[in-house]
Amino acid sequence: MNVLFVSIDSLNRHFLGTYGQPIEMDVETDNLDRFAERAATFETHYAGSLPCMPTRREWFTGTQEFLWRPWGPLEPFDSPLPDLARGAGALTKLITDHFHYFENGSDGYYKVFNGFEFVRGQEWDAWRTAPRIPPEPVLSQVLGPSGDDPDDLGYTSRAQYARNVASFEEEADFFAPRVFSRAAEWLGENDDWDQWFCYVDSFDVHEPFHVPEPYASMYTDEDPTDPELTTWPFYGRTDEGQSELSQRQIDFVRSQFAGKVTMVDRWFGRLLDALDEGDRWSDTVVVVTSDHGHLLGEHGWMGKPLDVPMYDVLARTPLMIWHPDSPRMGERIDALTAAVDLYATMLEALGAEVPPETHSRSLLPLLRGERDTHREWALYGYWGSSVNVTDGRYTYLHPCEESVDALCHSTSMMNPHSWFTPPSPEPNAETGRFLPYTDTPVWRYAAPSYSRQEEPMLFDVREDPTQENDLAGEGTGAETRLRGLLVDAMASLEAPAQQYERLGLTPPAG
Amino acid sequence: MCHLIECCLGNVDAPVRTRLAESDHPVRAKPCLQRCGDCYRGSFLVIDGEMVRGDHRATLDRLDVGADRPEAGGATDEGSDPA
Repeated sequence: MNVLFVSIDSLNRHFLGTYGQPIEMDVETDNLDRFAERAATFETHYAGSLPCMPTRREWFTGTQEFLWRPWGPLEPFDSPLPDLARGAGALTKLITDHFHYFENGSDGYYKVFNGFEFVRGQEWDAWRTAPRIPPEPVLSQVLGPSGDDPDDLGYTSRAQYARNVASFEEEADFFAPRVFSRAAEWLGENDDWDQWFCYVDSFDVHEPFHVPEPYASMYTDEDPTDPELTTWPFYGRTDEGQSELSQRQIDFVRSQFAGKVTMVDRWFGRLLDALDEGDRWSDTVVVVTSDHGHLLGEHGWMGKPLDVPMYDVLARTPLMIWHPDSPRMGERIDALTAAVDLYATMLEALGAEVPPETHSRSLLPLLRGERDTHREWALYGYWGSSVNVTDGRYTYLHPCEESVDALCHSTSMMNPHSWFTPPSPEPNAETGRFLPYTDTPVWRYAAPSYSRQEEPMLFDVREDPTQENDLAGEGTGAETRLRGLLVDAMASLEAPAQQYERLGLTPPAG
Repeated sequence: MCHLIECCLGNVDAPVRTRLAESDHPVRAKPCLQRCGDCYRGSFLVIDGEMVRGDHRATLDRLDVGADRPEAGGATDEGSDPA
């Protein structure tokens, strides 16, 4: 069996037709909806370790890393999915425009494939150096209202994006068109191989929300070239500071995000066409998902800032799986599932061995119709911050004590906070066998915790899917139960003892 | 004049953090302001939504003496290393 894995970064579940699209916009997602009708659509799927690269380490290695470390590289003790797939006889391929694989803060991921192709230019990809002053209006729209220095030579310079796209002339020059059209070509070129695993990792819909026509005007009456309207809003509260936006600006950002969703959808359709044309559905498992969502004014926030509570907009993600041998195709699956589960699912589909120490649980028994439930809890969050749990009905967001540092564990000295800059030495690091899932010694060092909210938050997401009504402190049995579930989940993963202190939780006896 | 001051927790040392906490201005100390390049290179604050590079103490002195809105982006990179 082949496996085609498609991740679409920052693809908000609530913008998709197949998930009911509970927004005041009619966003065209015909091809994702077409795929959902063919596949099994998962209703209660949650991210685990966030944001981008932590999610990819869950997908690649089956490790819920955020209890131990932040954004970082593959570890020497990891068992990456593409490496195991190769061992099982599958050709492996990565097609991506995701610059995070190649910049400071992560390493190793693309090196475990037989082949990888990198479409250059997304975000602040260190690519083009000319023109020195990029053309308008793209420059002003990505710099945003603060109008930062276009000559900035520092890391993560937004002007870099405007420089990278300065030569783009038509839709086909943009990123999702190039990634998905190349992936469609690749399918046609590799039929001679007995088995393959292909990972199509689209950085779109991720910001900046810069799109060509017709998408730029598809969901707005504004002039999309107005330099006062940003396509790259800062993360944070929309009512103050550098992230402050007027309602007009928020509406414009939402329109450009929606336009980018539709652009991705149309080019994703090319991939579906390629599966049709080669009659490839009969021997290919197709997995389509996202790493996280993106706040677009919901709850008064923009982006995925480190100080926002972990609302479902960020953590509840789309998942659709086509499996030619499954009796559940075309159905909706309510069972609670987690991002980390895709690791074991895809390995099993490929006939590869699933390492016993993994945190991942294959979804194939669900897809074979052997059971209707999958897991009791899903744990999610960013390293060093709140830890959150859901049972599929409730979400419980548990704050941390900022006075207690978080501990970073890795064989490398990664930056705990400034992920995208060169690593700084950690002179106070100690070494030891601190991880429950490997005998390999690692560095361990402390860094500040950061809180997302002062008190626990509880939402009944079945009755209140937009999480408007915080039920914490109202004496519901659900709060006690979910808090207990959080402790059980951490114990199940053998979370570091220090995590309980940092979270103000009592560890389980024994 | 009241200014909204935003800072990255990793970019301010303990004395500056204390001074900010005692300030009459609203202060938002955040784990990240998406200014990683500036954070790596030197000291900065975001005042009323605009980047102000340079030594924190000098910037705060200017604010505390009641100066007008600081000149955004015009400061030099002469600040101390990030904490």
